[in-house]
Amino acid sequence: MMVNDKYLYFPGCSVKRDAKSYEKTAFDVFGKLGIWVKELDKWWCCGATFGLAVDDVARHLGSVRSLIQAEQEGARYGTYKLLTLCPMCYNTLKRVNLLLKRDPGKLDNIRRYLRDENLDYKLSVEVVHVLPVLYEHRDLIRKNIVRDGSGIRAAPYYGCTPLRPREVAVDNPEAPSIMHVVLKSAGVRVVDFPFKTECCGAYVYAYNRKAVIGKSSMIILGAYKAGANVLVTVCPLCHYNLMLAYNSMKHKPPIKIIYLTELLAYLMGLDDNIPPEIKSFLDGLTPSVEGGGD
Amino acid sequence: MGDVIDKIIKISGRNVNLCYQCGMCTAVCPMAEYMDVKPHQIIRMIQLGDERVVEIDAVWVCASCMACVDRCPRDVGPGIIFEAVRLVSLRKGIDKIDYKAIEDLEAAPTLAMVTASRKYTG
Repeated sequence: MMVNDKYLYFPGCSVKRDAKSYEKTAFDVFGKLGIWVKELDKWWCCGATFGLAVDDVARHLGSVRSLIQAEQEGARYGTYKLLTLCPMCYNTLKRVNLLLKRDPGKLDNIRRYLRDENLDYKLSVEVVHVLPVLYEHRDLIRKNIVRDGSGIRAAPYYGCTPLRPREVAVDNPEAPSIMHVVLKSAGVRVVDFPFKTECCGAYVYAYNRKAVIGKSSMIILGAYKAGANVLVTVCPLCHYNLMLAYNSMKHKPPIKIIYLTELLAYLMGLDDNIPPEIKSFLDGLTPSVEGGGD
Repeated sequence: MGDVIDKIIKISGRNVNLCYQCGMCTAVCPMAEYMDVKPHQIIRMIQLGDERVVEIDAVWVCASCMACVDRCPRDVGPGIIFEAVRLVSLRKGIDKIDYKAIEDLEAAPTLAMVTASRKYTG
């Protein structure tokens, strides 16, 4: 395999349990694009949400341990870029990393926790989300497309964590476009819609389910009314909440909620890990003639 | 200022007095329609030293989406302050969710469980 890019990889809980097809199709796509990815030998729960209290450094320790692991493996594999698929992992790891880089007092505090374990963090890791990686390799994506995506009208849904707060944003947080460009490169019709950066309701599902179903329904219907037949997400929690809302709808609009990498894998003919139900939905939108590409 | 307000200021590390009540946070908040007290009103209560702020339901409906934090023209960071309000209760051992009462708990993915546990339990 030709190696075009190298990353260490932090999976997190979701892609190993509830969003397996997200990870598997992502790896199929990486393989095809020559993106070399090495999963960390060991990783810790990032915490899923960044602790906002200024006096609670211990909340960041899980993330710090994974950053240290990445730093150690980085020396061995020649890359300090740590890739994530889950944007909540991305957001948490990135913010912890940024906090330690900007605040020497916090770093010192963290070091005191780790001294007895002979661990230290030298701030060399860069946390990266899959969206800009795919964006960077969009020309390669275009070259590897084997299916006609002209019947697919995809609405890119970014949600919160890839974009906010702005200091960790993968793109312009008010008007993101990199997922639009990736999808366009893959040959589908891209449908812009007003709620592309709106919150799905996140963890509030456990406290006020009605609010989450309300928000997520608004996002689904917004995409559908804009003309989409596929709603594309990169987040396992958004996926869960959107499905919760979709399943609660009396009149279900003909729109499918799928992960970005599932759609890319489909268009690249990498069918092995696409859930059958999604494969057959996409088949229904694809003109029967296959093969071709560039 | 009372103890509770002091604690909120200290935990959040933010300056509520910078707020000039423009209402931007409420305008951009995706959850505002489900809140009993709106984000800018919560900030106003803290400015005025109103300790009833810890009894407000709205801070638990906040999804920490950072929409208000990013757009606040005075960099007050309402969403960060709401976390401090939540922590005042959580650090007293008052949890906000009961796992046994959550509908379809078994169907909830790990990420949903972890995030909810982080935000609603101490």
